[in-house]
Order: sequence, then C-alpha cells, then structure tokens
Amino acid sequence: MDMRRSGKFLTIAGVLCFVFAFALLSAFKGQFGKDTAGISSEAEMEDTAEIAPKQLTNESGGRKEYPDNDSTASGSECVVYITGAVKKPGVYDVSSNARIFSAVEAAGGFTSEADREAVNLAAKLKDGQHIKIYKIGEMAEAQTTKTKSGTSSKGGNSDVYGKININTASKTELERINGVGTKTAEAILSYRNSKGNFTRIEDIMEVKGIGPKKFEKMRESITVGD
Amino acid sequence: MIDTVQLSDLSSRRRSILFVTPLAAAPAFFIFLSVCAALYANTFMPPVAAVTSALLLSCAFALFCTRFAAGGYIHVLALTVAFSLCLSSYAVYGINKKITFPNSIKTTGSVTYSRKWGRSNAVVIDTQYGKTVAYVKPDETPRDGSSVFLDAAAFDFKRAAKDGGFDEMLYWRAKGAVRKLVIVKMKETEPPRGIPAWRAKLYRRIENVLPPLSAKYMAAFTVGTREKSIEKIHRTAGTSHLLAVSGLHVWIVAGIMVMLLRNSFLKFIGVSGFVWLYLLISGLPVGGVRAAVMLQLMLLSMAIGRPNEAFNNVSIAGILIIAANPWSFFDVGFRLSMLCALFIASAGHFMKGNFMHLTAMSVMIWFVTAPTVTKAFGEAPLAGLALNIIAVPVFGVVFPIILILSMPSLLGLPLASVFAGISEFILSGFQYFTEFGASVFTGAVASHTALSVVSILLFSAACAMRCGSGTRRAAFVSLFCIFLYGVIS
Repeated sequence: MDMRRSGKFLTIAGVLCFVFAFALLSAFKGQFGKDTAGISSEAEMEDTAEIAPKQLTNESGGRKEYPDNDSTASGSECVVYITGAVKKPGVYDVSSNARIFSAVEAAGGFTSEADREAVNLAAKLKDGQHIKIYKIGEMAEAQTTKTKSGTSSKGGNSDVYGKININTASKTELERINGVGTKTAEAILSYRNSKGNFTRIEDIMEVKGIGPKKFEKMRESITVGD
Repeated sequence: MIDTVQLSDLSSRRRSILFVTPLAAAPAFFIFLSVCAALYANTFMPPVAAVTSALLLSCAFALFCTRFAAGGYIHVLALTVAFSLCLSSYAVYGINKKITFPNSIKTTGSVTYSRKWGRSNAVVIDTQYGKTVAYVKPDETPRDGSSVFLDAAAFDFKRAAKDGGFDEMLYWRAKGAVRKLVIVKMKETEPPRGIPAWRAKLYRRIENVLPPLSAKYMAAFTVGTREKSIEKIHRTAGTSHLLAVSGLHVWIVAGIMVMLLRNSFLKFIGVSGFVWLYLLISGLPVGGVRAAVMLQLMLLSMAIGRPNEAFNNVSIAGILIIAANPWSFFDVGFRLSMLCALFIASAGHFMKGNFMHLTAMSVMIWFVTAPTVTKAFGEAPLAGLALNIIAVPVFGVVFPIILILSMPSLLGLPLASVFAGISEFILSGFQYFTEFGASVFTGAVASHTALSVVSILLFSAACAMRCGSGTRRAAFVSLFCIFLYGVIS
C-alpha cells in the first residue's frame, strides 16, 4: 500500500476507534473517575442490600411505624403463627420481607398487658415462625423457671441448642449472653436497628464494646439463625 | 519489529525511522494502555464493556499515531490487539474474581510484614486461605518472619467513606491481602526465619548502631520503614518520593554494583541478584519492582544484542506487575511510579541533559503527577515544584554516600563512628535544605479540573510524540484525551 494513503487510512481507522470507544464510555456518563466505587467482588459480607436499614417514616401513639413491606412487589408470601399478648392470635400470611411488627399489626396489635420491650419488632420474619409475645413479667418468670430447672433456653429467640439468636433476641435475652450487660445489649439493639440483621456471628464484633475477647466468651452461645 | 527491518535500508535515518511507527517504538505501551483502561473502566462498567472500550481506545491511540503503515504492520497490530485482549480480560477477571474465605479461621500462618498503623501495628499474615492483614496492639505483635497460630474472624475491608478518602480495601488488596482479620487468639509457634527475619534484624541493627538521623534515613532506604518525623518533613516539601524505595534507589544501587564488578557475566548476575535482594529486604515496594524489571529487561536485551528502549521496558514492567496482582493498578505508589517513569522515558527522549531541560522536566513531572497526588493525599505541595529540581540530583549523590558511610557501623568495622558522624552531618544538611525549602515555598494546590487537564495534555502528548506520531498528531491525541475526560466526567 502507498505510504501516504496508508497513513490516511490508519488515521481514519484511529478516529473511528476513538468514536466507538467514546460512544461506549458515554453510556456510563457521570461515573468516570470513580475508581473507589463499584468493584463487584468486595460488596458481599457487610454491605448487601438485604441488611440495608429501613427508614423511619412516622411515629405515633408511642409505637414506631415502618413502611409496609407487604406492598413490595418482590415479596413472596410466608406464613407465621403469632400467639401471646396480641389482640387476635393466629396464623397469618405476610410478605417474606416483613418484620415482626407487621405480624403484630396483622394480629390486631398488642394487648395492654404485652411486654413491648421484650420483642424486637424490627426483626425479620421467617416462613413457619412461631412468635410468642410475652405479657409483662412473663419473660422474667419463664427465665427464672428455666434457671431453676437447669434446662437450656428454647424460647422463640433461642435455637434448640440454647444459643441466643442475636438477630431476634430482645434486650433481656441479650443480657443473658456471657459478657453482655445492659449497655452492650443496648448497643447490639442499636446496631441491629441501624444496620439490620447480623449475617454471621462474627459481625457482632462491629458493635461498639464487643472486641475479640468478649466475642470469644460469647461465640458458643450465640447464633444468627438460619 | 517487522516494519523496522523493512525500513533498515534507510540506514542514515535509522534512528528516527525506528520510531516512526508506534508499534515499532513501544508495542508494550499499547498493551499496558489497554490493561489500565480496562481496569479503570471496570470500576463503572461491566467487564465486557470495559475490555471492549479499553481495546478501542488503545487501537485508536496506536492507529492515530501511525504516520504510515510499513510492511507487516497489520500482523504486529493484530498481535498487539490479541495480547491486549488477553491481558485486559485476565486483569479484569482478577479484579472481579470472588474470593472464598471462611468467616472464622483457626489455622497457622507466617508473618510476612508489619508496620505501624495509628496506635496499632498492621501485620500481614500469609495463611492457607490467602494473605490477610490484622491490626494488633504493639505489645501483641508477632515478629516478622515468625510462624503463628491464629484464631480469628475475617472481615471485608472498608471502602472509602467519600471520594478521595482512604480506601482500606484498595490499599490492602494492592498489597496482596484479601481479608482483614480480627484476632481472637494469636501466638508464635516458630521463631522468625527467611527474608522478613533478615529485614527485622537489619532494622534492629540500624536502630542500634547508627546515629539518630542516619538510622531514620537508612531504615527508609533499606527496610522501607519510614519514621514519622522525617516523613512529615518530606511530605511538606513534596519530596516524600525520595524516602520510598523506588527507581532512583534501584538505579543507584545497581550503579554501585556495576562499578564494583568488572567481569561482564558477573556484572549481569551480580547486579540482578543484588538488586532483587535489596528489594526483598525493603519489602518489594512497587516502584522498586518496576525499576528492577526494567533493569532486567535492559540487561537481557544487552546480553542478547536486541535494541533496548526504556519506554517499552516501563510498559512491560507495568504489565507484569498488573499480571501478578491486578489490584496493583489501584496503588498510588504504582500509579505515581508508572506516570513518572513513562513520562521521563517519553519526554526525556526529546530533551538534552542541560540544566534548562532538566528543570523543565522536573516541573512537568510535578504537573503530570499532581492530580494523582491531590486525589490520594488531598493536596500537592507547591514546594515540590521548586525543590525537586535540586533535591533529586542532590539525593542522587547523598544516597550512595550515606549507604557507603553507614556500612562500617553496620558491619562493625574500625572508624565506624567517624564515618557515621560524616553521614549524620550530610543528612543534617540535606534535612535543613529540605525544611528551609519547605518554609520558603509554602502552600499547596488541591484537586482541580485545570490541573487534570494540564496533566493529561502533557502526558498524552509526550507518549504520542515518543511513539513517533509527530507534533501535529500528538496535539490531536492530547485534545482527544482532554475531550474524553471533559465530556464523560
């Protein structure tokens, strides 16, 4: 090929390549230069969408109300059984994304005797779950009985091995964990409310006041459920 | 290259003709460009789109810079594109590859490296699951090179809270660590051994036998441990690159070895061996590795009688570093090192060694690297603009002198205190000059679009010119690059 002609041809080819590259890059306009974001392999354990905190939308009558998860298009139905200090105990269909407060609302709300502090209303529901809402003083009584009889906990927030589910346990239950006092239990609840459920027990070390030594003491007695 | 061979009949103009086509001048540059563009694009584009756009950009650069196609051009272009595609895809795959790492581990590992990290120490531990990092209290830190038993929980690294903030993940992934560990229990099971143990021994020896200032500088030059007080002085002066083991240090060390060895075969083996030992002791800093690879390529090409071009060698070094760990691309040290080396290799080709040209080069390097510096550290000290003109050549003299004067103390030879005293005096003078310069040239520039534009303009024009594009095409390439940056950002 003639050298001068080849030069022109290559220039045109170069410009075309540039135009195609430009068109492709333009499709992602506004994202250019953000090289500390969006690297896919590193968003798996701590920042998943599943544990994103829910925003508080309204507060009335002393009870926090959250967006109705049942209305989400993506949520498939699951069935839960709610008993205890609720107005209409029974079996209810709720969205799989729903949290305990949705089940309580479906059951007509708390009775006047309900121990509202003993249940984590922000905890996620699971299909086939049995939720028991305790009456005031009933929880302490149940714990005393268990302690006296020396049996391990088998309540709604503890699994069959007596491990406490840190995603569903109430403040009182959290205080039963080895090394957890009132302040740490509050810190766990605060962390859970702001960042969502723990995906693995090791994540509890992200809670202020829980370091490796405290974790070592509690690691055998806690769970995050299934 | 094929086109070079066919043009060899123009012997009187051989030197200029050799670089008339970019693929003859530096084929590796276009592969490196493609790999970097793919990794960069992958931060905001899906992998396939990222690799495609990177290939197109690389091809655009190569084609547009070519003034005419000599014989065999298409074959070389096809080969370059094939290499670019393979290596870009491999690098992007490496970045997107999922890591399987247990939530908790009870295993053994070896401590490869530790450094101060705020009030704690950051300890890099090599385990069967991969390299990990743990922040531990100074009194609980295991010795470098020791084997340890670990009972720990693994966590993802934290991302930058805001654009330009410290990104723990990018920092440690670039250093090869895959997870952060929170240690529940850790104890040494075997005493230190290997290179990390030697490094720790040398560090202790430096601290024990050298006067304070010499100890601080020698620790930085040899084992890569930078003491806060001198680091602060050099950061304010914009000369912190002198403390990090990089190309300048490697070339000086290699130069000393070349002077000591006479036999050419011994020279090849001796220089290579000593440089890599030096780098292993200093913890394989990325700038040093880049320079060492370049040195190896230069020595190899001399041994086999092939042409040797720094611009192409820098690109090959960059490709190899990214191939070894694609996350290196996000390392500030790697970026600064590559920008500097590519710019020096390209712009330096057109400059003479007089004072005016060296001054211009130093100033241009400051502008080329300033956007990267401001993004990583928040600002670029203006002192660096003026001081580097003098500090770099002065350091080129000071560094080997300090290295030689410290040897008697380190080896326990007679008159060690006299040599150490001279070394301390020289370093005091060097430090005084740095501090004085920083106090005269105060102020710093923050990140600004204009700074990025100047950087892109200088860098792209120098690279295009070095590829043989000619002034007019180089100007167009620069404008293309600025246009791309301006419109998409």
